[in-house]
Amino acid sequence: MSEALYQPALLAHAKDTAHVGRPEGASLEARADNPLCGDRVVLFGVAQAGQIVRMGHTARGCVVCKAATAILAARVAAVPLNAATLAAWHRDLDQLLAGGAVAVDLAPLAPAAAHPSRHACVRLAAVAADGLWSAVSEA
Amino acid sequence: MTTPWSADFPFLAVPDRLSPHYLDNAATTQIVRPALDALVRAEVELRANVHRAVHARGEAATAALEAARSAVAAAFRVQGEEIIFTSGTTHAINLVAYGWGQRLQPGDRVIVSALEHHANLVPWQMLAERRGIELSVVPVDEDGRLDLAAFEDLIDHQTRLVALTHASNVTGAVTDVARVVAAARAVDALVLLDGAQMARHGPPDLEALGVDFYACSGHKLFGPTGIGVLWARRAVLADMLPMLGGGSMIRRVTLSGSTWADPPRRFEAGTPPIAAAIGLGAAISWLSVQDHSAMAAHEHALTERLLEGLRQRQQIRVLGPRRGRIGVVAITIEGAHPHDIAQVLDQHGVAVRGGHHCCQPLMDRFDLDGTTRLSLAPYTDAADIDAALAGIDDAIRQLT
Ligand SMILES: Cc1ncc(COP(=O)(O)O)c(C=O)c1O
Repeated sequence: MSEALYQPALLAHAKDTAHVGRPEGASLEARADNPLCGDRVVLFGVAQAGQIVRMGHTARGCVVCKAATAILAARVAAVPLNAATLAAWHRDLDQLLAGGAVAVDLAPLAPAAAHPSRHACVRLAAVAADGLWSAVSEA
Repeated sequence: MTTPWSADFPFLAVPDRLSPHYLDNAATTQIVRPALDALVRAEVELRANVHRAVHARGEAATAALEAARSAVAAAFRVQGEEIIFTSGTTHAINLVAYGWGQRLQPGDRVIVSALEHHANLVPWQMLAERRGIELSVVPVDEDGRLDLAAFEDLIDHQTRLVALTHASNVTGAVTDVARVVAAARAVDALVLLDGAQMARHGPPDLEALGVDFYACSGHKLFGPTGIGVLWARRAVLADMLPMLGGGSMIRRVTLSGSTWADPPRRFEAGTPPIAAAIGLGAAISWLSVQDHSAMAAHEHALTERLLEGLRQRQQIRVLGPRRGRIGVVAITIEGAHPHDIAQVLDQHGVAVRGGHHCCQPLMDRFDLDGTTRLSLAPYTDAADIDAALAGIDDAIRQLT
């Protein structure tokens, strides 16, 4: 079970700098902290027509937290973040952590399901994404 | 491999036990057999409510609870009425911050340090909010020790209490209590020691230490969980307010008001954790008859073996002093997060802790997000240390 957690694919995501930092034109920012370990994810969003069309991040945390953040950022680069895609992200994480179906892009995170103490690491970026989404809705 | 204390720890005999190399003793130690036996006996043979029953079972339970109190008092070289059973160190310190601290006035000062566990910081911050007192902080030096010269500059006649840890749960540094007490006495301030990490190294001789409050937790000194001790001098306790109201802590209750029982009952409202307290008494009795210098030598030798191994690995930084420390060792590995390191060590059957260890201000002091902490006990052996070092090599390989 735990053998497979630190696979090359997971480590590669954690080191992926493709969407690190504040993208140009980003007017929104949201942050999530994990008080148990002090990990922190900050997301920056460029809003357009009520959706987030580009997203950058800075994640200070463990491999799992950083990889999950990078995968989310890659998703948003492909399909804008809105109520439906955010709900899909949560649903995919719920299924993955319950040991169920695993979305293709989330496969490197799947071994974390066996480690309940790491579930919060997988979800931290999602908490920040909720914050970003409320910022869009309020804007 | 066994140690002179292995036979007293039932967990070692469990086949295929979880986390066979258990190095998370600063968080919780394993239970010692006499404590487990006393706990089980109390729950099976003596289970009844205490203090009020006239039946034989209730009388026996009450006698066993009070015998546990006496055993703790004897080991700590104080009076039984001065021992209050709490749920742990956190509860004990909160009890002081409320029951004693509530009488403080604006202008009064409490001194803590940047090394404190949140349990010995947050209650004082809450008190400062409530009573408008000043909270001052002793800095920590590069080696993770209290800067006592700075402390001596800080302490003044406004200081009513100095609340410090006896040994750090991160850097392992042991506090020079005599020096702290001397400075406190000079200005008539009281001293509280957070003994959570120190008490398992041998029951504190409170008479010799010369402090005014001492707090510790059963689960960190080979006893049950959910139980701990607050000790304070009788005269100090007599003046303290109760924090919880309810049964057992009163003298007389009418609909218009109540008066309080004498200590210790004043501070033990409701049904206490009876079996846990009896188990704690057994753990402390066991601890008090061990050869403490042999225990210290064992822990020191293995701590040195660990430190030496860590020093040979360049990516590793060790927090804490070379000398004057207990077997609590916090490290960082460049480029690797403490939780990932702990996870890789878990694959090797090595239990360690990663994170801020409830010491966020100390992490800020060293500009760290967290550390990985290895902590030893009398049942730790060389195989545990070697497994940890092998796991650390693997963590370096996998994560950096
Ligand atoms: C130095 C120190 N103080 C206080 C505590 C709190 O102890 P407990 O959680 O048993 O109340 C701990 C435990 O982690 C500790 O290490």
